Order: sequence, then C-alpha cells, then structure tokens
Amino acid sequence: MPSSTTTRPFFGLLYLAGVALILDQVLILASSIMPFSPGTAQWRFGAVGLATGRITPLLLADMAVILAAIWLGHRAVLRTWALLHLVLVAVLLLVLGGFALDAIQVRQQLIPEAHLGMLLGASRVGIMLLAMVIWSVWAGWRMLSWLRSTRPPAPGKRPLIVGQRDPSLTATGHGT
Amino acid sequence: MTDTFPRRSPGPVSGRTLTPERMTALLCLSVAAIVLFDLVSQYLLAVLPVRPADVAWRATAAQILTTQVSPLVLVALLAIAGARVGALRTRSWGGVLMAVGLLLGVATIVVLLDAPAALEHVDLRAPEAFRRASMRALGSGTIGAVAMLWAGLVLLRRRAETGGAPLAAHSDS
Repeated sequence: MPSSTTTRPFFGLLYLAGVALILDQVLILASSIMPFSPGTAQWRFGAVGLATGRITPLLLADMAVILAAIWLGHRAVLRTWALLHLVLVAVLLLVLGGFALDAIQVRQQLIPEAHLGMLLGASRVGIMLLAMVIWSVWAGWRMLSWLRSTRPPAPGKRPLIVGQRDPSLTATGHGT
Repeated sequence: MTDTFPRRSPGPVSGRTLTPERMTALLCLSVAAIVLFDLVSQYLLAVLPVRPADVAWRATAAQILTTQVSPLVLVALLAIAGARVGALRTRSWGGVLMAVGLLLGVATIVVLLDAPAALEHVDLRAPEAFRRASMRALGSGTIGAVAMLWAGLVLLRRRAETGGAPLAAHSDS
C-alpha cells in the first residue's frame, strides 16, 4: 500500500473533500437551472452553459478522489471511478452534440447584434466540454494503466525463480 | 541452492513506470492546465469587446483580472506540487506562471493609473463602489503578481538547479 500510517488519514479526508465538493456543486447547479424544462432548447442551452461554469471545482473533486484511491491502494474504487469516466465520455459527447444543435436553434431567435457574443460564449462552452471529454478519456486510461502496472501477484502462485547457482562455478572462483 | 525473488508486478519498468508520485504529478499538472484555460476563456469573454482606448474599459478589465487571483494561485500551487511530487520537467510552467505574474503586475499598474481618470471623466453610476473595487484590485493584484512571479521563479530555479536537464525520463507537462 503506497501511503504510510501517518498520511492515511489525510488521504481519507481527501475522499470526504472530493465527495462533498461534487455533491455541493451538483446542488448549486441544480438550484440554478430550476425549474427543469428539458423540452426547450433555451433551457438546455443555458443549463449546459451553467454546468461548464462548475468545471473547475468538479475537476478538483475528481482529482481528490483519484489521488485518495491511488495513495490508499483502493483498487476497486479506482476501477469503478475509471469506468465512470469512460461512461462520462459518452454522456459528454451526447451533451456536446445536443448543445451544438441547441446553439443553432437559439441563435435564430436572437437579434443580429447578439450573435457574435452568443457565438463566442457557445464556443467557450463547446471547447470546455471537449476538454472534459479529453480529460475523462485521459484520466480513465491513466487509472486503468495504473491498475494494470500495479496488479498484485495472483494468490497461490509460486515466486518466480530467476536463477540457480552452479556449484562448479563456485569452485573455480566464479559466481560468488 | 536456488535464489528466489518475489514475482515482479507486470507492467512497464522503464522511466515511464506509473508510480503514485508520478500519477499525482500528472493529475496536478493536467488539472492546472484545464483550470488555467477555463480562467483565461472566462476572462476573455468578460472583457469583450476590446476597447483599449477607453479608460473605463482598461480600468474595468484590469479589475476583473485581479478577481482571478485565488484560482490563479491554485493553479500555481498545483503546478509546483506536480513538479515537486513527480520530479517532472516543468520549465514551460515556470514561464507560464511568470507571464501571468507580469500580466497581473501590469493590470495593477493600469488600475493605479486609470482608476482615478475613470472616476473623473466617466459617468459612473456608483463611484464609491468603483473606488472600493479599485482599492481591492490594487491589493489583490499586487499579492497575486508577487505570488505568481515567485511560483514561476521556483519552477525555473528548480530547472536551473538541475542544469536544465529533465528530472524525469519523460515529461507530460
């Protein structure tokens, strides 16, 4: 297990901090996009825009959970978290596609003077969503790589024999 | 007599081996990069359209920049943590943090020079609030500039200590 007994409580608290941050951000986001109206393009457009505004604290929370799982050696948590990231990739790609379509629809309802500002704002949201897709793929892949590279030996397997000393070499002064 | 050793875990054994320290460093630097990009894009959207000839725009743009000091310090902290924990080569991060520090310094000077002019010449709805915001911007900007320049120097000096050679065999920074 990577962490020592003195640092274990710290990493345990990182779990708590990460989960608390995620819940807090989800609640803030939920309260800001209420009342829910997923049937309208304007609501969906605004909701995705507001959600991307919460990316920084969510990223920090994500990092806290990953670090806690790595340093505490919680392989099951890390595997689950990695799979969640890969699911998130699919969700984010769907959201990105929907957002692009909603942006086109919303743009048609705006006055021409507001088009440039809306385009820049929507571009920023799109780039941030794309960055989150890349982050999710990268983090999920890194977690799975780490799990593979630190896989413990299968139980019941004999230790690997790496060499055998030849008595004749010892007699001639070699192999000591 | 037979020498036996515990079975080595499968996986890479080169300089790219994923240790907890290396994972920590890579995560810190990646998050720092995304947070920095998020901050910059938000700032650019907030100050558009650009009107550098307008004294009120200059003062307001500089004030807005100084409101980003806390997340910028967080970015610096993540970059330093990544460099220290993972022993990664982070010369580019040193340069980025120095540039951000200089930018914050310039913003502070702009606030210092332009805020009084903006108060005198521009019809502000709440001059007292603008004055308070300018004072806060001066304080935050100075602290932020010093912190970012110091963080940049820490990363650049770390590179100089190692003769510019990479600390690790591979750098993702």
